[in-house]
Amino acid sequence: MTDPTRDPGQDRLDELASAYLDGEVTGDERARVENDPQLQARVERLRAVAEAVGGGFTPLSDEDATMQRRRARLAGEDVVLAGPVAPAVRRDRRVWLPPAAVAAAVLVILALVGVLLIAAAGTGGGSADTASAGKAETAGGAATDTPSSASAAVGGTTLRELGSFADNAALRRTLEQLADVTTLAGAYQSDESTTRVKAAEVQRCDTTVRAAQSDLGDRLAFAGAEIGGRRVLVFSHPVEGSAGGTAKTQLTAVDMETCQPLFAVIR
Amino acid sequence: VTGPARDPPGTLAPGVAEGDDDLVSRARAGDERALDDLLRRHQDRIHGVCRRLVGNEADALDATQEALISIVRGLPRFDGRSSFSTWAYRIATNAALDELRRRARRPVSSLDDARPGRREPVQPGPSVSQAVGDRLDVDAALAEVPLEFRAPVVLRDLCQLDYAEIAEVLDIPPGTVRSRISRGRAALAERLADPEGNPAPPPDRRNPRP
Repeated sequence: MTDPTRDPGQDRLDELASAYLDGEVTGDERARVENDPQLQARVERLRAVAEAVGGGFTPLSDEDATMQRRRARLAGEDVVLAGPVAPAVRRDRRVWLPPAAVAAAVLVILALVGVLLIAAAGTGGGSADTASAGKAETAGGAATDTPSSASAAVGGTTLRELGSFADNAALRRTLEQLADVTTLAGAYQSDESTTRVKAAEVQRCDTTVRAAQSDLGDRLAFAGAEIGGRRVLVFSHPVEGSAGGTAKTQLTAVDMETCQPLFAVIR
Repeated sequence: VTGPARDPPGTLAPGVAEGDDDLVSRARAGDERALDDLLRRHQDRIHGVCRRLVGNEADALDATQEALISIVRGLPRFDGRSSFSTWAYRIATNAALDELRRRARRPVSSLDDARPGRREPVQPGPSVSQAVGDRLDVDAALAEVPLEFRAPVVLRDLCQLDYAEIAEVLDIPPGTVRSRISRGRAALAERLADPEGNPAPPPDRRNPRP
């Protein structure tokens, strides 16, 4: 960017004075500035400008500062925890059974299956009907075979399923791409899949999330997901008083059993 | 290079650099308290960068929030080649630039026109040193300085980065940093001395030395 009205000679003097102010001059340049009263005057003029830029603004209020840090920690929680320490801990927790123990366990399971089959043959064909009825009643839509789907309840609230994810980051990416954050719809493959869950469980986790973060408004939507076999609830809440007047929505993933937040995405 | 000793406003306390390294290590290992301390330590300066670059508080708050989130999410990838503060200011600068781009795409409303960062009618001040005491004067004047000059001035005068660090943050040569800071300060001085925008050469220009 070149300003034709500027005098290149004066620009060089300004640059020298400015660099002197910052301690970014050679010994010769420094001597020149210190021996020239007019250059010293330029330095003082620029010093006033530099001090104005460096100060004078109002720092963040404690409330704003605390809220911003909390949101940042929540938004990045899974990323930070996925650092170098966490995987090592997980590996240490893996337990390997000796081959003999595995073989014994297989034999016990086979024996139990055999006993159940014999018992079923003795009671006639009615059990098949009972099993299929139970499945339909529990699913209330597409069946789910996740281990923790035990929390699904007959007559509960319909829970839209976001799908199964390998880890928090995978679910986060999906949430970051959702087309509609107010209904939690639009970016996942199994958006028609639903299950049922006790309304009280949804409410309990929603209350926990909002108790931890006072600037969240009334819940807009919620959905279910599975991360590595763990059941997760995802809530959509408006962020009240969003900075800049821009309405924002926070998507919070929580463990369905404990209601503890796993991470959040602000859209 | 040498120069006069300078006591910059808002300088971080001695020993902060070592403290940052410890906090970064603990935060990366999942220590939430360390992460909070790290963010708390730099939050005001990050907010200051955003405030000075975007020119108004509302957009600065948005940019600050985005910067903090980016810092937390990027922490596992922070390689320590630069100091944490330099890395954080780079993120803050980028967040502020993103905010300015978003603002440029927003339709202009009457409310936008009333923001402090916009040019507001400010009474001409008789001197730079009197005008600089007014925060609105500084923000309004900075908003009129081209961004390529504004950013290095803010990183130098607010964050106290040296020219090499500013060059790294802005990805420009150190020599360019020197000239841009000079031109940014000169433009700022003229605007602070005469906020109406009338040409007002500094006193020493009326009697240039040969």
